[in-house]
Amino acid sequence: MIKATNVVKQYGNLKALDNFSIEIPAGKVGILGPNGAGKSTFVKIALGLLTPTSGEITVLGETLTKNTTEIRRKIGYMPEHDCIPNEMTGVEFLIEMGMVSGMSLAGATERTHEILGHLRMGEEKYRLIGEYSGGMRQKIKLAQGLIHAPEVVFLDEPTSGLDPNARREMLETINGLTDVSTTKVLLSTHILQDVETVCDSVIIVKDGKLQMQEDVKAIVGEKSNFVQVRIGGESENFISELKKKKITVEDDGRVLIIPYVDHSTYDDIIDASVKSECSLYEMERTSQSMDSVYQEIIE
Amino acid sequence: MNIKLEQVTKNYGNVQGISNINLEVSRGITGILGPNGAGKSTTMKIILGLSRPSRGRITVNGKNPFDDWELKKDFGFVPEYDCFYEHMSGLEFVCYFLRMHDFQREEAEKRAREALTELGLEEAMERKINTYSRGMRQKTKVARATVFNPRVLVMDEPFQGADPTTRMLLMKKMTEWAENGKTILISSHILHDIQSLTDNIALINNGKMLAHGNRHEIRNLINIPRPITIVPVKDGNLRKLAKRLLDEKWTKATSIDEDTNELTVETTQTEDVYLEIPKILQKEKITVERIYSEDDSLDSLYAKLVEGHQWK
Amino acid sequence: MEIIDKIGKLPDIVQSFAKRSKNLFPPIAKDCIYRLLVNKITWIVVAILLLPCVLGVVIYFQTDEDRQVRESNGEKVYYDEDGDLIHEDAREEFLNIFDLFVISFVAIIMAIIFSSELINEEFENKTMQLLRTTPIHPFEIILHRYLAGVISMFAILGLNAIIFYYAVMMPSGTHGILENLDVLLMVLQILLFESLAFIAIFCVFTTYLEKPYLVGIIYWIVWESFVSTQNYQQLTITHYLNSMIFNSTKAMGWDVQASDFNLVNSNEEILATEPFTAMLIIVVIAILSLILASRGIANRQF
Repeated sequence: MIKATNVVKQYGNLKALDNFSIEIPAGKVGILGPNGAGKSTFVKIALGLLTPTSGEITVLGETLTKNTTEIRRKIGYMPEHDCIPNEMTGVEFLIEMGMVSGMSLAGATERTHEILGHLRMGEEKYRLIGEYSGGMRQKIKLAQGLIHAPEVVFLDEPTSGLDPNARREMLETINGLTDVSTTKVLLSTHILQDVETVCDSVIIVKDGKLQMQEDVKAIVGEKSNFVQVRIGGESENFISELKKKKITVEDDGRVLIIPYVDHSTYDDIIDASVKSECSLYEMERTSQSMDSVYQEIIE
Repeated sequence: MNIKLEQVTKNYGNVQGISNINLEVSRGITGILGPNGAGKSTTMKIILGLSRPSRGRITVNGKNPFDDWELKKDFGFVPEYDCFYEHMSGLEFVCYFLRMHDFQREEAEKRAREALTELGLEEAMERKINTYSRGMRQKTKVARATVFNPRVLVMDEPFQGADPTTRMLLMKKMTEWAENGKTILISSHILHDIQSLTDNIALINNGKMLAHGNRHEIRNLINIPRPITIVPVKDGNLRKLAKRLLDEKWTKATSIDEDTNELTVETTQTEDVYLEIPKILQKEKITVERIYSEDDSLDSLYAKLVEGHQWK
Repeated sequence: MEIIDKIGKLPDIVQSFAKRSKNLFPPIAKDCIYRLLVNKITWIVVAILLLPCVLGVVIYFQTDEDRQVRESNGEKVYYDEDGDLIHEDAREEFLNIFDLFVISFVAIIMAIIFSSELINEEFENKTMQLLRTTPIHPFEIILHRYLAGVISMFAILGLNAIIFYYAVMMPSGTHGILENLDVLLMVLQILLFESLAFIAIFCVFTTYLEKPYLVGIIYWIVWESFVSTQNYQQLTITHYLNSMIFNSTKAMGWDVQASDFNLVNSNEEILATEPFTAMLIIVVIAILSLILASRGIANRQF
């Protein structure tokens, strides 16, 4: 979908991208990295908003610099900052955006209602954008990026500032994008769980270089060597039962962490729970999380 | 420090901010959750003595924070919004507030440098705040609020705009501070963060306190059958176990998923069932590798709260 | 009983404030003075203040040739065409213009601008919320900002007075300039008391009101400009400032009447207040205003 070869972008002495090469597959891809790692520079170059100092970048097989207007038709962008007019209704704004990108009035109107239907916007779409909640504003921004039926859409921090409900809804919407169309999604975010829930693959950028490119399922599925247990009642009794079997327990205040040896560890835990008469709310072998993978790579 | 809200109501004109909130917290981290506009910030401001309750009583260690200005030397506040002297550098800004806390100039500068360095701002601290990114601003706010070692720390959305590295750093710090005996109140929209920080949750919606306690206690308030999922290690035991569990009077239904090798029990019982299941497993000599309840995750509890399920 | 209790504790509180002020005043003053000096509106006011000075210099060069010089005791004394002493004319010009333009107009506008920058801006930027979570008393929050405001305003207006004095007195030569320094000193004294009074009063407005600018300007037009010429003028700051000017000029041997400064009531009775009493009243009003403003901050809900 997007291919970068030896891309360098230099701002004065600062190398925002340093010999950056990547081939991003189709599907939903998450881009992670600390502030100033070069994430947004890469996204801006891929959008054709910036030209690289050297190197080449192709989107959907076409070189950006040569074919900019053509390629822009195929790219949608949902920016992070607020950039929508308060004095228009959602529908008016989207129709206008559709017409700006070359659609007829009738076409744009139809497309607007189709997209807003996907985004589950009801009668609110006829209200002024100024009266929208944070979640609805984000939806309008997303719809604006999708209006011209692009093949690739870049989402920059789509869940920032949303409360949990609005955030869940936004993630579900993004998840659904690939089901109802062939649109490919590139998602840049600071919230690692968003990538876990939405993306098929993830790339991590740091210091202008690609640090990792991996399948999300492969990362999150990997099991660690600990069992996490949540109990009720007197946890001291439970811990001392396990101590009798020479098993050390770490209490982090929320859950108990027990080293995993083999299946007998599970039996020992069940046994301790019965003997100490502690309710066993949860027992589960912990798996690697996006957090730990990210931390490992960045530090 | 002991913070106690009794029947606290706050009206803004005719608009009700919060109504009849009861909450008692002492040392450790308490997560305050709720949708935008639910009353989280209002509750925090009342605790900090920035706002006076219309009705009800707020005490911090037995004193009223609105009138007792000396009590405030123990308060650290990270507000949701930006509030800086933009023309100052991060260092000057933190120093300024240390001076307000009665630290002398040299001491204030030393402490401010330490705190900012600890949060990874050693390079940026001499630059003006109006050049800072959102993550840096967030760190500056946290440094300002914690540098004088307050005993109460109130953080309203401290993670917003922070990159993952910053967020993990802040969470690590918070856990340390809580272990050192601080009372920390935190609100965040990222439930995952709260879940990995603390098990002490206060849920607020429409200005009312819906629940306060750990996840399990909060789940017990919801009046619908809960699913408990059991995953045995070997195949074949699944049906046998399902049959065995159906004999129990607290079982409402069981379902089996052969693909994932999962057995789900629906029960209305809230406490004993968690004691009974291990006993049964032991008696039947079935090894299981996972026991969990979908409902116990903060995400699910939160969704149920906002979807308005019946609360006792 | 509670009030008596509070008064009993007063000396202790004052002492502790004084002790803490050594640490609190420098950072607050630094920040406040910086904010006042980088404020664009301050510089617009300064530009307006410089207009009469420029005018004075222009007049000097235009009337330069009409002057006559006489030597006495080795000093050059200048006279105008009619043979009158220039400096006796000029000093009156200086006082009249400065009183009309600066003391009763620009200074009050400046006090409104400064107090709103010092207090209102902090409400708008929400830094006041942070300050209210620190262990400093609301009175200290207001006091140190107020003092920084007074210092800035007095410095700007004082400097302007010196420049304007020089510009107006230039035609009378070195002799005339030195001869009438007492007028300049008096003006500086008036400016100090004016800063003390008006910044405190407008601080009260900014802590209690949403639109302090508007109310401040109404207060200036209705109260300080109109009521200050009427029967109950003792209720205005302008009355006490005028009394100070009247008494000082009289003491300097000028030929002045109380009615020149509107210090008479409708029965033509003289209302002028003794200068020391006037100063005392201004200081008391300032302190009471600060206490009132600190109550405003203490009771403010965020």
